[in-house]
Amino acid sequence: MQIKPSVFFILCFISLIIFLISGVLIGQYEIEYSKFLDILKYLLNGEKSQIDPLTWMVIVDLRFPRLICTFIIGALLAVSGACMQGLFRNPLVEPSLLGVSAGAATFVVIFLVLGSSIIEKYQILSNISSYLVPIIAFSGSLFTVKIVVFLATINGRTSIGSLLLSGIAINAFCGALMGMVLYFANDNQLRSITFWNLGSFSNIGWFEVYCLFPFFIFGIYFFYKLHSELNILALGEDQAISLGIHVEKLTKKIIYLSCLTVGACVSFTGIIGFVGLIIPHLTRFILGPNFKLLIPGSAFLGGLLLIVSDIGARSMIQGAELPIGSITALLGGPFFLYQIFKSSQELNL
Amino acid sequence: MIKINNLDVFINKIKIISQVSFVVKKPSIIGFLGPNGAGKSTLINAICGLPNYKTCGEISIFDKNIKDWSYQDLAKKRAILPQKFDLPFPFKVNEVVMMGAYPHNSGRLTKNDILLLNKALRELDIFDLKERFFTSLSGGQKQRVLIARVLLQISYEKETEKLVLLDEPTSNLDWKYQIQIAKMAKDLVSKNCYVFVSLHDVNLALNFCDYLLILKEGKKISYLDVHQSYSEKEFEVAYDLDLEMINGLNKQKIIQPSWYKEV
Repeated sequence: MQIKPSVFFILCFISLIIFLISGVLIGQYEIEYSKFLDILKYLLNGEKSQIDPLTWMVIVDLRFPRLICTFIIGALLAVSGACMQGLFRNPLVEPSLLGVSAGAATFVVIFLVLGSSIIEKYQILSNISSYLVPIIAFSGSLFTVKIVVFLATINGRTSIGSLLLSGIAINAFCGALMGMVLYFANDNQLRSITFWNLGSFSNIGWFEVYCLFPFFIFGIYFFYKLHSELNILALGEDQAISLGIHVEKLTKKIIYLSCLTVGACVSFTGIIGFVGLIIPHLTRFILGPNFKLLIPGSAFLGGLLLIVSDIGARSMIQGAELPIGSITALLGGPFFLYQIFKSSQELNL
Repeated sequence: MIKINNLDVFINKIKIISQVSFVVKKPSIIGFLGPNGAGKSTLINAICGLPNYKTCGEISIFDKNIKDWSYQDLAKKRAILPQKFDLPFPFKVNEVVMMGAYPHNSGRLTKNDILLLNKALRELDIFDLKERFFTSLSGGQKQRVLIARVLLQISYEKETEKLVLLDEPTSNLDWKYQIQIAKMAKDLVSKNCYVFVSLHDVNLALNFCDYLLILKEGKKISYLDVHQSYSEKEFEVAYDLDLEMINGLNKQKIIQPSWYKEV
């Protein structure tokens, strides 16, 4: 079901605007359309009419930054997923393969369980503890990926095959470590850890937008710059070398880029699975495997899927918020299966 | 000039090729022959300069040691057709062939690229397949697409000498396309290309190569000029078989196992 790229991007842009508006309007606190228009007028022309302060707060301070963040995170996860799949020449790879998520989660779990007693002791730390979790998660993901790359480097060469193996090993190790630490956790800690592991956008504000925005701009830009190299890499490592590509340098570039971007996303929202796996697939079905289109296409689709999932997560149940990770899986899973069954025949996969 | 001197090749510290030397002074077709496991593909990949093939000894391509060539510069003058190939994503035929242009345009397409692409597609008889998915093609069609990619890669610099390495280019092809590849190789020589080709078909090799390097267990059995006289003896050692040579009408030569007569 390939469609023209121009049509695809126009559709994406239109749906982005529709989703942004509906994302602002839909939620636990209902906002009337006219009040939203008032705020829009004020923002566009500086027209000072009656603005409800509560509506202003909900829209400008809560929902809008959250929508931007959701889009950024969806886009980054999808793009780094696409590039990791290209690097490993395997459509079943997702960005967390090299331990970005597992490393972040392990560090956060250790911090929440073992570190909490220390925080209680020192009052100063408790003031900044909400900022501490992202920092710890981010350093956890960087540290883990660094270890994976170190383990996969044999005789000064980092091969793609050994990266895959050491990634799997470190993921398993992190899982085991987390299990052990969880054994010592109390009920409260268990609950917050479970929520962190399923991802949540409930704490997002402008601060997080400012933090993530540079990752978004630079991340997408640098990934996009690698598009023709990634295309060639589909021919295989040896063929890419024979075409003049420094595969080892390219590997490291992609790994550290996706580690930085995914690590930044994960550290603010917790683990959001599935976007990095299915969005590149969907985009490939629609636009083909050429990374020149795949990267911007994945960015759009990933952002859109996450916005829809987040709207679902915060409006499905009255008075509560579902974890976003479960929504992405619920939405994405069946659609993904449908696409695979439909396309497996025509593409001979 | 291409010079291979006392070359050892190791894969995972196991010696696959030992003490192979030969010199090719002007563009010509050099066939690598030998039974399975003789090291034909290893030699091709080592001459290509792939880092997984650790070498000891000298490989000199156009008077410069292969270790002194940068990947980018070498890619403009040397192309390789791999023996095994798979594509994880459903690229289209023209996209796969166009990847051969990467060393010259770094991924930014120009009109000249399209011109050369279409020329390569026509030459391999696959112009009509160009919008098809590579993954949906038959084995022989895939092989021709890959050869077109190789052809595109070395069709940019017209004046300088180039090197084409073909690892069993005819393995999936029937006679019509085998002959087409052989003709193409001859044509490449006239365009200043050295063609190194590993083959299983001895008779095909005898009839289109200029020189033959016969290998067995990683060692050179002989290096012979096809245009001079030679006997089946060299082949008998390599293939461990009784062979006999049949002289065809127009001086073309055919070697076949003696066993054929006994049946």
